Amino acid sequence: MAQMIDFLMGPFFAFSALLMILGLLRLFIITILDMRAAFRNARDKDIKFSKIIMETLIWMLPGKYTVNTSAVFSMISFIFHIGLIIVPVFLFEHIIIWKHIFKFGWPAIGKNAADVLTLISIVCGLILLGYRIFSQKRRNLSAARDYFFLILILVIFISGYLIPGETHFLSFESRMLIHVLCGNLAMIIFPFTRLAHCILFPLVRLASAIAWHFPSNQGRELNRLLYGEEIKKI
Amino acid sequence: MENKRKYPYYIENPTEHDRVRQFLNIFAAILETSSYRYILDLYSRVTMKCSRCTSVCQIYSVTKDPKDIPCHRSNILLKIYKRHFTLGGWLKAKLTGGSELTETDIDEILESYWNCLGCGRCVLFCPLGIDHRIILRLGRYILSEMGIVPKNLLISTREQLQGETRNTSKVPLKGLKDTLEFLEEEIEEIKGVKVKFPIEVFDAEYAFFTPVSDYLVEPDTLMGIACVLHEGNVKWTIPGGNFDGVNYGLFYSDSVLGEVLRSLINEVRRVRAKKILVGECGHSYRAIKDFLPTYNDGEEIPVVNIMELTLQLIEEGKIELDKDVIKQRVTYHDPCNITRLDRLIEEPRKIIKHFIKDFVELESHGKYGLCCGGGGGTVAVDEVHPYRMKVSGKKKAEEFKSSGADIVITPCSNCKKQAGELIAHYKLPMRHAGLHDLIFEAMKMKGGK
Repeated sequence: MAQMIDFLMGPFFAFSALLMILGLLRLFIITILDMRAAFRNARDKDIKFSKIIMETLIWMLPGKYTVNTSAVFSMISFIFHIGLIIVPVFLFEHIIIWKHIFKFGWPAIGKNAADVLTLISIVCGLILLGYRIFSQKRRNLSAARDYFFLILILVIFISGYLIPGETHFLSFESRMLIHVLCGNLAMIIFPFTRLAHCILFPLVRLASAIAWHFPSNQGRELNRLLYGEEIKKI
Repeated sequence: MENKRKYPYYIENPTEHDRVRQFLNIFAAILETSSYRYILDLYSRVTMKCSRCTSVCQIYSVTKDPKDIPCHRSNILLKIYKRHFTLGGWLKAKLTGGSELTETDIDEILESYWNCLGCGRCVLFCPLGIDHRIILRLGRYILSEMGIVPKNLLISTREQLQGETRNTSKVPLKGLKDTLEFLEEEIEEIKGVKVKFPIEVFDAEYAFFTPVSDYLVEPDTLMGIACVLHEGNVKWTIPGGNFDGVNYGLFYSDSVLGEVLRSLINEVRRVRAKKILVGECGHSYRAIKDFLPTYNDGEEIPVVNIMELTLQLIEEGKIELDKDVIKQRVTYHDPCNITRLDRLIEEPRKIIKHFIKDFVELESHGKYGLCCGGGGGTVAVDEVHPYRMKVSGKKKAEEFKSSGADIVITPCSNCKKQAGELIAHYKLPMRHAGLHDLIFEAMKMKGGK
């Protein structure tokens, strides 16, 4: 088991991390290029870029989540995301592993802060899972993968939180194995699933705005393709 | 699974054969000729189904049916897209099978996508900014190319683009002239001033467009507009070749949207007007304001809404309004096609402040206002009238009632129809009116009574 853990924290971690980073970067670049192509195809180039960027930035702050709808659920989700981003990236132990492979690191957060954020994320994650199970409208929206993503994140955070301590039901190696296995799995699936929203969400509002600027000849091109004439009889 | 094929609205020639292949062929052709592919890719990669949209959808809040959740509705088309038009979808199908498009899916789309009002309220609350209206219009566009369009809209559009009269209500030019002559007589009788509706005047500053039905069923709005423009000494005209501001393409077809706008642009150039003035109609204003630049390959044509111009004339002191005429409590309904993009929210309120003493806001107003319940073209589909009354318009009717208002201002032709029907259906103790209806009532005209 120790050898497996070393492998998962060594070469396999390098593979997973690179796959995640390069995969997400690829998606980001493809989306930008697609948006640029759509913008070029549009005759009407009047888009309020600064307004859209401002709107995107505002939605990164908690204010918008507290008004009008599902305020409690939205705030819990927002807080959940804070720990979700900060702990994996700024935890001292993670940086050590990264530095060992990639030869550079960055400042870490304190252990107490990491513990608190982890606990908060676990509690928020469990509440969100509860919402998904017990709220009819959320249950109706959910497919198996929606539960899978959340449960995977929770397993990573809970196993990570339990690693330093003592437990009677799981050995240290078992806890480590679960944590690094699930952590690697999460990194691998990031670019291939909706978890990619982590890198793509800043682009969505701009992409939506551009999508309303159609190519001017689209309708006639479609008619030519489908019916052999530019203007069809209705 | 047995296909429960049904069409909840009249369709001219219902397609009964191989709809799946037809749907996919058309979908593929639209993807080839448009820029929809990238937005479908993006949305399918980011949507987390957080359900915030459910709490603000006025339809879901009444039905509690999962099919009415905006995210669920969009997901139907996104799933079809992923399965049939992406490498991942193809690979997944090879490994796991299933999830191909079926006749049942098409039945679900044609019902669900015409249950939605396209009001865009869900867009304002999505943390990611997913615009479900884009998916809605794409789904309707595909269906329309299959011939699956509510019959009313199709017949109206056909007459507008290919008929003799070139308008959705089949009103001949002579009919329009007769109607306007009658309105001129009415204005003279009520206000004591001769006001003209100028038809086919060349080189005017504004070419005026409003839904042609307004000339028939909203005389007070038209009279109010004509009086405002008369007092403001505005040079305007109603083009005689094409005087219909309706554009049903906004609701269901990029192709129709473009052709109607091209026709309108040609008419503006023909009469050599400098600007376009749009009457009290939300969808007409949005179609012209937002999409004219896409289909205009000539010089830019500024687009102005009548409420903007009226406010300007009031602030210049050219319009005098009597503050003692409208004594009732008044509220204002924000048409979603106008205000969702943060437009024309303050202007009508500033106009109202000039002559209405007792004004109250609806509970949801401005950018976040509820749709009238007849949005997305549904107001023109008679078969869904019970749905508009009992489901999509229910929250709006409750809002009207709780405002305690005697008059609700609805500056949009579609909203006027829907509001009138809601008031009648729920027997609300109020009436609806256009903004310029009330302006007409309160206006003091130079040399008039």
